[in-house]
Amino acid sequence: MNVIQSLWSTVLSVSPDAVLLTVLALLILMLAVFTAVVIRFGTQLRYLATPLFDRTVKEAQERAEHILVDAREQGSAIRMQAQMEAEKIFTNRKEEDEKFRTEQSAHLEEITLHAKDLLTKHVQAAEKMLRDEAESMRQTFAKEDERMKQTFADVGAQVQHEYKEFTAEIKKRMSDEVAKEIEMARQAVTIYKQEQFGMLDKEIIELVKDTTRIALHKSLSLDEHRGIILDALAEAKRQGVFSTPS
Amino acid sequence: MTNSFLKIFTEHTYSRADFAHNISLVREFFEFIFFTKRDVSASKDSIEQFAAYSKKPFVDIAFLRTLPSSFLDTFTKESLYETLKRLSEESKQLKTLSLTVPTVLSREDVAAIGIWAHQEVDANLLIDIDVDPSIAAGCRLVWNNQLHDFSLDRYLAESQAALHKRLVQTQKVTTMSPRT
Repeated sequence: MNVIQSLWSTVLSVSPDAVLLTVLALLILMLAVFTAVVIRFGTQLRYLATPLFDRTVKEAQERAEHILVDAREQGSAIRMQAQMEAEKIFTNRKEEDEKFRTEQSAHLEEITLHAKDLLTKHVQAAEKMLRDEAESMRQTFAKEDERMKQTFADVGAQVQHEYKEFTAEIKKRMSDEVAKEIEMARQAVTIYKQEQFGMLDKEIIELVKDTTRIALHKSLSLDEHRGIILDALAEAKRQGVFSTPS
Repeated sequence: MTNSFLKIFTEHTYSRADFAHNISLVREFFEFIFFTKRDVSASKDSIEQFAAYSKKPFVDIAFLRTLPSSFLDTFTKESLYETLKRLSEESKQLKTLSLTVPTVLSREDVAAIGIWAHQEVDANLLIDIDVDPSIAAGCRLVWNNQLHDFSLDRYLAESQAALHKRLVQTQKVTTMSPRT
């Protein structure tokens, strides 16, 4: 007793830090001893703990199965619920779709009918307009045709009249021109003939002169030349050539 | 003095060509006298000696013989060239009768025409002769810078109207005559 007390007092007298450190060291030591025991006597411990373990496992399995059954039931219920909901949605959707299709068909029929109606109306209006336009054009053409015929008739008459006048004028002018041309040609021919005759006469006279010159040049002697020159000088003196003042 | 020399000289000289020739002849004659014979003056005998020495044509010697003694005496060795030069210069003042004739004339023919000109026109004139064969006959003359045509052309031109008339008549006759 005294020993415990002395130890206790010794412990109490020691500082807290030292106590804590000591406790910690003791714990570590105990843990090491426990680990060694476990490693050494592991199989025996397991045999000792098996019934408890099995029971615990069995309970856990039961609970797990119970949980699984509950979960399956809940899942089935949820699935059923979801299926029902889905079918319901599907049915609603189908109804809506059917309704939409019906409405769409009705709208399309309505649109088609309306379009047909509009088209018919437009076609009728266009046909009417074309008929009116054609009628108007026909009337205009008839009117213009009549007017053109009248105009052509007037122009034709005028052209015929002018053509006659023009033809007469041209004929008159042509005949005048032709007469003038003939007269000019006659004059030209006359002048040409005169010129040609003149040239011919000149050529003949020149020929005669040349012939005379050649004949005289060849036939005259120097004495005869001298005599002619002296006669020419005497003629010059007679004509007073040498009496002109210097 | 040279005027009288010129008169003597041109008395038997009729054309300008003859004048130049005769001047040359007189120079040769006096050169013979002064430089060949070495005489002081010329005489009539000297002309014969020159004729024998130079063998000049008779016409040239005849010309020298026509020169009077007074003319010959005036020439000296010193005045020879000066006198001849002066004669040539003064000859340019003489009147000229330019003649264009159809053929080359002989000196005698030129002399005959010159004599006529000296007698009928002017004793101191010189004639200048050109040849143009196209004249054919007669002559053309220039006197006082005026041309006068007395050639065959003139007579043909004067008779051209008659010639033309004759040609026309001939043409008509030829045209009217029937063709064979």
